[in-house]
Amino acid sequence: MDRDIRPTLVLVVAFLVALGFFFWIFTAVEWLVALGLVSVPLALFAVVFLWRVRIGHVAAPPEQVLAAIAHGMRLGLYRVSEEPGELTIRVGSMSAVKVRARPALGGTDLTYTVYATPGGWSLLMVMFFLWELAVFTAPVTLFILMQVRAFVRERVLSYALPGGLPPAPAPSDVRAILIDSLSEGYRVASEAAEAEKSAYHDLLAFAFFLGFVAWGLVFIEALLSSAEVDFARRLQDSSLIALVAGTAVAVALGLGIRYVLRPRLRLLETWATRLREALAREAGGARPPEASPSAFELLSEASKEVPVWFAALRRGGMSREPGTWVAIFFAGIWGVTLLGLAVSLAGLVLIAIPAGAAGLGFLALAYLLYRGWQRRVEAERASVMASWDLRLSAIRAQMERFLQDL
Amino acid sequence: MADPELPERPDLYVVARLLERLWRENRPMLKTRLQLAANVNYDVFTRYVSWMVGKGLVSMENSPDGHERVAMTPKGYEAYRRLVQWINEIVHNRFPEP
Repeated sequence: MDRDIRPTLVLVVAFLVALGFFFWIFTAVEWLVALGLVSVPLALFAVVFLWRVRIGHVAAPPEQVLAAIAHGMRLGLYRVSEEPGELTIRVGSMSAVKVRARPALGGTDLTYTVYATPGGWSLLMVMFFLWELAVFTAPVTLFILMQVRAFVRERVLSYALPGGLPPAPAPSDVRAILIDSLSEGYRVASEAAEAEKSAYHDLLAFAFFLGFVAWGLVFIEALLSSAEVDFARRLQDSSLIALVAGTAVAVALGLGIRYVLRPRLRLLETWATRLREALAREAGGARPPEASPSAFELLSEASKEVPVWFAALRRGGMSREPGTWVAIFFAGIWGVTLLGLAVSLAGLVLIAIPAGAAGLGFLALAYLLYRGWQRRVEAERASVMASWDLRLSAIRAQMERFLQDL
Repeated sequence: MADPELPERPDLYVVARLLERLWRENRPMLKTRLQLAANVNYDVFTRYVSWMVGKGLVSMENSPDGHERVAMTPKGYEAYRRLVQWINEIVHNRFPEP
């Protein structure tokens, strides 16, 4: 069997099983039992993502082992981020792996834990959050597990075999430094592009949500102010007016968001592509096309963009700051629900007025939370940009002085 | 080579481009090929090569075929390595101390 399709096969089979369970749980089982049953995927999730698996022992210091693995992965065009004592390698769109190196007798013990990309975490988080869908986290978890295991077996295990550790690149190796720089630039640019895309989609969803809110408010207004005596007719007219208004709000906001964010997203994607192509050329030992900018120039230009990328990573959308966005989501939902309640109980003024006021309060809270988050992100971005430009000018002057003083 | 006016404040990109081409070639390059590969006009090229010869970053070699070639010196390699190392630190958000 081809190893590459195993994770996908597991995903499909596990999904079908999960689908069967889903219908069984919610049609034939008491809801308390159902709640208990959906805790099983949570246990699977915990085991898979917390389990630390041993890769092997390497007779070299941890820093050397991690440097060699990181270089090998970068040559393979994998995205690698380095933290003290560990590497995080992105394996697929949802899967990643953390490789840890700990000093042990006469060398290093290598272990790994299954990890997920921000996209993978978001998907799992949303499915656990909507607990009815928790059963579908099992196929995703198993898919990530299979993909990571296959990756470790094929790409990492060889480093722990006797004589399998290649020498780490020498500090004077220009090609290794270029590969390292291009790989890091590519990693940050592509993660920034993904974060920007996530923010873009989140805002489109928010525009849809606001369209829905507008629909609700216009519907209430139209229903209450209509002079039509036939209630069915009144409902129909109000629905039509509200539908037009809600759609107009959603479409206008969506177009505005697209106008502002699309160019930024395309720029980030262009940078990620340029750096990946340069990395692939460098890793493959191919020469750049004649008269094309040098890798140094490409990296110099890219370095001017780095603060924008970091800002995009920080901004990142609701999937990257889930706490705030869950609060915004709940405040919005409660706002709309209470307003709906106020309308449905319009005859009972003592209930309708407080409910309506509370609904408006929740909507205002959602808006304030959103504005606060947006201001915080913009302030951080401005601060990083200002200090980055200064530091970049200083380092450039330092390089030019170095050339003049030669 | 004629006595061209040397750049007072050399453009970092042009110097790095010339050094990078020579480093990639890993052997002396014909002047015309280097000029084309570095994508600079003849005047700029002549001035920069003269400046780099003066600084010991490159040397001129006469080949048996009568063509003059430009070769990277160990000092040129080290200068290019330092430039690349600086950029590497910036990309990793680890600015070196001035």
